[in-house]
Amino acid sequence: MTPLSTTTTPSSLPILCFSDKHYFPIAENVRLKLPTLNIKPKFVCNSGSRDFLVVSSCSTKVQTPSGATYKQGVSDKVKLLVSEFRSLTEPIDRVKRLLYYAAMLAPFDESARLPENRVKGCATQVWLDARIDKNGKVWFRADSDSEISKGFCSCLIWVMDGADPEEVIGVTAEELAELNVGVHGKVQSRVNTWQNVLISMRDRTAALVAERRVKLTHPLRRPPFSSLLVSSDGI
Amino acid sequence: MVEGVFVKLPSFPFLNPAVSPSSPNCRLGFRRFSASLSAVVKEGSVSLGHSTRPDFPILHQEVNGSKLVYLDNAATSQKPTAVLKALQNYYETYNSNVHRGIHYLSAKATDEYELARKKVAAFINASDSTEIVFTRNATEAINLVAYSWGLSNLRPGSEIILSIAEHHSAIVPWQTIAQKTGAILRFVSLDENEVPDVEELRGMISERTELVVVHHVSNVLGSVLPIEDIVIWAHAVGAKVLVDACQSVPHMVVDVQGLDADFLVASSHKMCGPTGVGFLFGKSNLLLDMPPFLGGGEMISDVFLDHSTYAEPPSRFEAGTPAIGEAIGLGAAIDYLSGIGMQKIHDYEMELANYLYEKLCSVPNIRIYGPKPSDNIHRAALCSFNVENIHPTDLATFLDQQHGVAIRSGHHCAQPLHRHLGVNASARASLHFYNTREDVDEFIRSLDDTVSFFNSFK
Repeated sequence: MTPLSTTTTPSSLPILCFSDKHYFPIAENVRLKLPTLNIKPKFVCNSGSRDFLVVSSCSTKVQTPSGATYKQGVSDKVKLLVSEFRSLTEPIDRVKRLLYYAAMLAPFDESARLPENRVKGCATQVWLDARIDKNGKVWFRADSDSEISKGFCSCLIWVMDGADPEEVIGVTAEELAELNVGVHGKVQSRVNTWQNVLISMRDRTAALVAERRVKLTHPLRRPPFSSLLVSSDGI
Repeated sequence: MVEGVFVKLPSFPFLNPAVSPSSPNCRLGFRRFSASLSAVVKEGSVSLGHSTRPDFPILHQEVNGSKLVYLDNAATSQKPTAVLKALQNYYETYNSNVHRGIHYLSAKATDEYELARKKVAAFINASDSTEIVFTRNATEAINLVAYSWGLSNLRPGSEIILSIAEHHSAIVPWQTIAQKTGAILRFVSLDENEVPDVEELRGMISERTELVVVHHVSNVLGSVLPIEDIVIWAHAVGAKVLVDACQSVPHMVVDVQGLDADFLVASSHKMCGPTGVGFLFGKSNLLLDMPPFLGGGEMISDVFLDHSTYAEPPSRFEAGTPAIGEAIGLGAAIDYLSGIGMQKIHDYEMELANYLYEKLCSVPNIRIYGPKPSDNIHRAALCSFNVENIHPTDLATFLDQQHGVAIRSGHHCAQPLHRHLGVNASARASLHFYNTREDVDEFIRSLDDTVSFFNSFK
């Protein structure tokens, strides 16, 4: 996808957010293969779907930097995103910027296009795939049939991909109000896609955390796995 | 806000006598009066859209740096100054609760409220104003029929016939009632013209049919159904017909006696009236036999601790304090529309409908839903459409942000229809008599620009 030419992006301000080099390299390395329903995966996270894998160092090719923190936390990224959109004073420039970011959204695994991954309340169709890795970081993938919605998803994922669940859950709609594009003011209407996606990301994160906590504190409730057993005595 | 004098066009070019000659309104009105006179003189060269636009202050604004082009009339219509003034006048001079009060304000409010009822009755040619029940909107009116008539008349195995193109408000209440009574819902599909299949409907009507629920004009397809014929077929088996006239009453002459409809519903806000009020027309003999829907004040005769007796229709179905000012506003809207003439509005909108369809067809990769207009097939002045590879919400957003053009995108409260058409959503441009050919031109220009913009990303 070619970036917008200067004729279509009137704003001369640099596009800041997605120059974060941590976004793409790590995103490319996340190879989370969803098992089909017939295969009994070794590691299963039952957060609303049987098809998620809990990412662990044994079963996948994930290169999550163990123990590494991002250069920018979620709140830093929120501020960066907000300031970028705030600098675009013409609403149409925000639309164009969103379309630019839409083109950068990572491809969506077709097998994750499930009813339980639909984000409720959107005028467009949005699918959100969320998972938690062994370090407790959350990862997201999203897709939509609308380019503008994809742009929103792209921005939100940039902010929250690979973050701590607490940071994700702590993001409020008010902080991101500057992203209001096509929906004037602080309208709480059904068509406010990015708010619905944000709420969905927070809810799914909370659910993943709760599931993980159950797994970690009640290991005997799950069949013991030969290569990884988490118990109160350690791993 | 532009204060205006309501000038009836074109045969009654008199200034509103309520406005005193010394007020500034008079001078403005006089300017408009002379404009309308010149409209009479040059009849045919000033379109209805141009001549009525000055009456709608909301249309004269800019959004996002462009002139507003309002093409979302099927969602709600704009209100002329006459209606706004009627509302303001009500609240400023005689607001009072209706029906039971003794004092002057209450008597005046009651008179005006009941006068509004008479206006509605006359507008749709009901035989008596007691056949008009004021509700919150058409949705509530349909629910009234469902819960009141439906619960007492439907049995297990009774059939209700609907089309897949019905608005959700005409489907969902019947799903609930069908569950409660054991009635069965049967749906008519679309024919090759993308119109509800009238022959299929005729074939479905049987001795088991108790009710046929159909729209008069479709809010997505723009098609018009032959209600007179449907009523004849339904009555032949003793079934009743409920007509959803939300998209027809504002745009054409609707005659409930001519149609012989048993029930008819419409909303004020789609016919230049305020939100918060709508009405149900029901034949007297039907309403008389129906139990109340909502219980409370106004609809009772006597109340005891262990039982109550109920008022006659229409009061029986109007529990609580009604939307008095709003009903009076609806009356003012009816006066305004009648002043223009519904036939004239319909003729103008037909022209505009054909123009819109023709121009939309010129947009590459567009798919317009509903029938192609022809000599026997008339479309309403609305088009739902999709452009290949561009989500309608993206189209609508860009049109709004870049061009100030207001259209709707989504399923337009017709999910079953969209499922049948194989799409999740569509965009819809819908016109009213205050729109002009220039509005359509601007819309098409903007749409072309929007489509090129999105295609440049592919």
